[in-house]
Parts: sequence; structure tokens; C-alpha cells
Amino acid sequence: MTIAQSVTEKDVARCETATVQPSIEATECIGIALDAAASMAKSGGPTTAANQLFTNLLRMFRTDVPTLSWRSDFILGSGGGQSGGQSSIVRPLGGVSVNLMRASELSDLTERASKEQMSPVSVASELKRIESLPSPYSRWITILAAGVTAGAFSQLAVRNLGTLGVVFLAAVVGQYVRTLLVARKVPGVTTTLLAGIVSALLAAVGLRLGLSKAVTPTLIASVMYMAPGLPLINGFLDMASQKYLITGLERIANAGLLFLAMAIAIGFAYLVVM
Amino acid sequence: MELLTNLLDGLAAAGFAGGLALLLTAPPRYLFPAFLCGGVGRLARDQFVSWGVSSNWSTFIASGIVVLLATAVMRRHKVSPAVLISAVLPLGAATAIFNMLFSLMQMPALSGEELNKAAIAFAANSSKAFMTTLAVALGMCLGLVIVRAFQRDEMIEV
Repeated sequence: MTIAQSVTEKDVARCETATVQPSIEATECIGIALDAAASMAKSGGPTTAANQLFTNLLRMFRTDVPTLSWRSDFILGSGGGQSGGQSSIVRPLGGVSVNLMRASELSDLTERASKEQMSPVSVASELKRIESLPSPYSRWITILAAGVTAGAFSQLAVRNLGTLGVVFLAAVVGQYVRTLLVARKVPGVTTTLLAGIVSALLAAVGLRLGLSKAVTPTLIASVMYMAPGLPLINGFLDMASQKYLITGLERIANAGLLFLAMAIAIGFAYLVVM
Repeated sequence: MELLTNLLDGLAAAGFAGGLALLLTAPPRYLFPAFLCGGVGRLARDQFVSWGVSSNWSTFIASGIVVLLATAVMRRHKVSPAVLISAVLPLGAATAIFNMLFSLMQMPALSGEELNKAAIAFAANSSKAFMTTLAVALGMCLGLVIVRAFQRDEMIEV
């Protein structure tokens, strides 16, 4: 569910009332803050940063901060309402679509919420703007970046121009296939597996032709542009914070699954070509 | 000679970090900080290793250095998750993770001495992958704690 769908004009109007005159309608303010936190988590921001954004927004709205339960697929905010009852709000997270541009804008919003006063109306419209931010880079720039990333990684293991060339080409073609699959909304693991097979097959052909001698570093580097380092590091950060152990484990498991898909792709290419 | 090798590795790590930052759609203004911090982080780790510090401690310290450097070079000294995450990724243990998975995939087809070797390789690479990633995460936490001690402004809490 997008922010545009989940926050209606009626909700925003209720929040304005809640800011001036706290009431049970503060749940709508919590909903807006939850949307912001969910957007941060979906964009690839650490859970701690998402939680900080949630807390800062509610403090700015002068609303009691409810207890938050984080999972990789949803966020649950629950707390006592002004009328004495217990209320809970859930926001599904769905698939993570990494966009550090959005995470960065939301991080700026966290800072602004701690320093200045913003109305719920302006926060909701700011969230809509951030949600609709396109990627700052064109498809061809990202394809080139994949080649540079994989090529640079290969040079960490073995300094050789042949390896660099093979890995660069394999990653460029793999990333092209990946963008096509992403555009067709193919699930993440399948995309990683198929793009990985293409990249690893090309790298294996390069090895077979004798363009590179280092078998394992070349094959690994050819798929490194898809390395799920972001969920892995975020997962360990979540665990290190001691507050989000389950979320951290889920993120690490997700990263492990993607690494496994890449390893299977490499194994497949090795069997077929080598 | 060792310094030159470390510098070249640092340059490659910088390219890796900058490229990953772009692939992760970090804002354009964060690409150079990610490039710089990624390179310096790797250089610092390799230098500590060459001075005899263990690999995990070197990674831990280098990860903290990345946070401090990122804070120093960023506008208004604001730490961005986009820069931090891209810059620490070259310190990660991706190769160890792959080697661990390769050993895991080989094991069902092996027996005897070969199985023992694969099992040992799996355990060693698992340990390296876990400890290195943990060192990166804890180093980042340490760096952020240091930054928070000197900055009273609101910033990312990790």
C-alpha cells in the first residue's frame, strides 16, 4: 500500500486536530509516522533509522509514542488510546525495493522533525513527494556501474587486465538482463539467479578462452554487483542494537538466500562451461 | 611495496564502493564520499593487517574509521546511511561467504578425506564470514557512538 493510498485528506485533517488538541484521532498521526517508517525500511534504511524517524515525527506531532513491533514483512504499532482502549495499526512492508535516494531524503526528514515544527499535512505531502522520487540514474548508467563495481572487486583478488575485462563484460550483460527482469516484476531471488547465471556463464566462457586464469575470483567477481551487502549489514546492525533481533535475523536469512542463488548460478556456469 | 599494494587495493575498493553506491541509488552528492570512505576503509584495514593486527580487529577499526571519515567529509557533518553502507561493503567477507556456500554444495557428493576437507573449509569460511560481518557492524556502532559523543544534533541512531 502506498502512502498516497493509505493517507487520505480526512486522515490529514484529523491529524491537524490531533496536534492542537490530542484525542483518539491521534491514531491517524501514528499512521502517518508508520508510513514514513515503513518507507524508510522498504528503501533499505536500517531499522534503527526507521524507528528514529517514527519517534521524531510523533514527538513533533505531540502524540504518545506507541510500542512498535518490527518484522521484515510488516510493522505493528500498538498502544493505549485516550479513551482507555487498546489500538493497533499495521503497515505491510512487502518487498524491499532498495532506493538509498529515498532513504536519504527520509533521513533528512528525521533531522527536520527533530529541529523544526511541521504539520501532519506537510509531512504527508513530503512523504508523497519522497515516495514518487525516481532513481537519479538512467538504466545505462547503472549497467555501466555494475561493470565498474564487479571489475573493481575482481582487482581486489587478482590484479589482471584480462580478468578485469571478462568480469566487466559479464557484469554489464548480467545487469542488463537484471533490469529487464526487474521491469517485468520477476521476484528478487529468481532475478538474482537468472542474472547470475548469465554473468557467470559469460565469465566462464572468458576463463575457457584463457582470458583469465583465476577461476574462482573471476566467477565470484562476475556476480558481485548483485551482492546483498545492504540487508546483511542492516541485519547485523539490527542484531547489534539488541532491539530488533528477529528483524535482523530475517534480513540475514534473506541475504543468505540471495547469496545462495548467486552461488548456484556460479556452480551451474562452472559445470556447463568448465 | 606492501604500501603500494595496499594503495592499489584501496583504489579498487573505492571503485567497488562508489559503484555499489550508484547501484543502490545513493544520491549523486554521496557518490564521492562513498568512493573516498570505501577506499580509505580498505586501506586502513590492510595497513593494520600488515602491522600485525588480526583481520577481525583490523576490520572493526577500519569500519569505525569509515564512520568518522564519512562524518568529517559530509556537509554539515551529517552521517548518511547511503554513504556508510556503501563504504563498509568492501570490508565485508563476500568471498568467504561464497566459499562457504561452495563447500556446502560440494559436501553431499563427497566422502572420506575429501568430505573432511570440505567440512573444514565450510566451518572456516562460515566463521570468517560471520566474524567479519559482525566486526563491520560493531565497528560502525563504535564510530557512531564516538560521533554522537561529539555531536549533540539529532542524527542516525544505531
